[in-house]
Amino acid sequence: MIAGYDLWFWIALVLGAASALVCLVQFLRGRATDDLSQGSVLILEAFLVVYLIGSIVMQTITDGPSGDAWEYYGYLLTAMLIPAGTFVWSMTERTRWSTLVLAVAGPIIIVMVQRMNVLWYYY
Amino acid sequence: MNDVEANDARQTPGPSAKSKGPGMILVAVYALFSLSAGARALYQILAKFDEAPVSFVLSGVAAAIYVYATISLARKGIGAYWSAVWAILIELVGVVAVGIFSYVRPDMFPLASVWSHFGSGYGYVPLVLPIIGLLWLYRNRPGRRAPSAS
Repeated sequence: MIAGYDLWFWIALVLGAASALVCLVQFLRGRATDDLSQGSVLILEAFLVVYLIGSIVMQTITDGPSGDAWEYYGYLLTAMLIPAGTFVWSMTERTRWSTLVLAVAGPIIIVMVQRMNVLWYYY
Repeated sequence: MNDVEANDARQTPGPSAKSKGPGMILVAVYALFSLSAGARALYQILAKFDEAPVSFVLSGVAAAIYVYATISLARKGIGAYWSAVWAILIELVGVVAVGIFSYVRPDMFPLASVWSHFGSGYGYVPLVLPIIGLLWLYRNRPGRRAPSAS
């Protein structure tokens, strides 16, 4: 725990910020979606899958979230839809504006993992 | 960069261009609000409806309007254009009305919904979003011709 948040949050912060930065730079360079921007969003999705498995493991060996477990997993599953959704959309519409849509996924994941941390530890 | 811009310019503004280019961002933000408002409303209504039925029914209505607006914005055609105009007008009325009511009668809104306090829990995006949406629709209004008309 650093500054009240666990390692999950800090990993999400680094990955989300990196993904948003990569997509934003690619958008400003006028690039359509490419391996770099789409890959950064796929990494976010992979992280969330690991986070889901990790949460289930944490759930079985600890008391689980101090907030409502339904709300916690609701947040997690909703979060998982965001990189997946933006990725699928970016496959069908390969323009520079798609790259900007991809840039949105990172910050949202950071906010949602922050709320999940609050639900798990402090609610 | 130049050929990309030429690509953008070739698109004639109009009802079917409303989900292209920058319009994609609008559709994306609406989709995001559909998702977050919908997930939140579903959780509130299923898990703790008794605590604040008015707030939670409003969350559900707001979510439904966001979903309808997202679909209307994304679809092509003149029918979808006017559906989007109506959905976003209702959204604007909703966020303003709920915003005012949540200040005047806070007892009616013990728990937050998307639109309470003009969407302050969501960085006031719910208040700004319909205004941007209507401006964007006006820019791509039916009968609008080449971009040089602007």
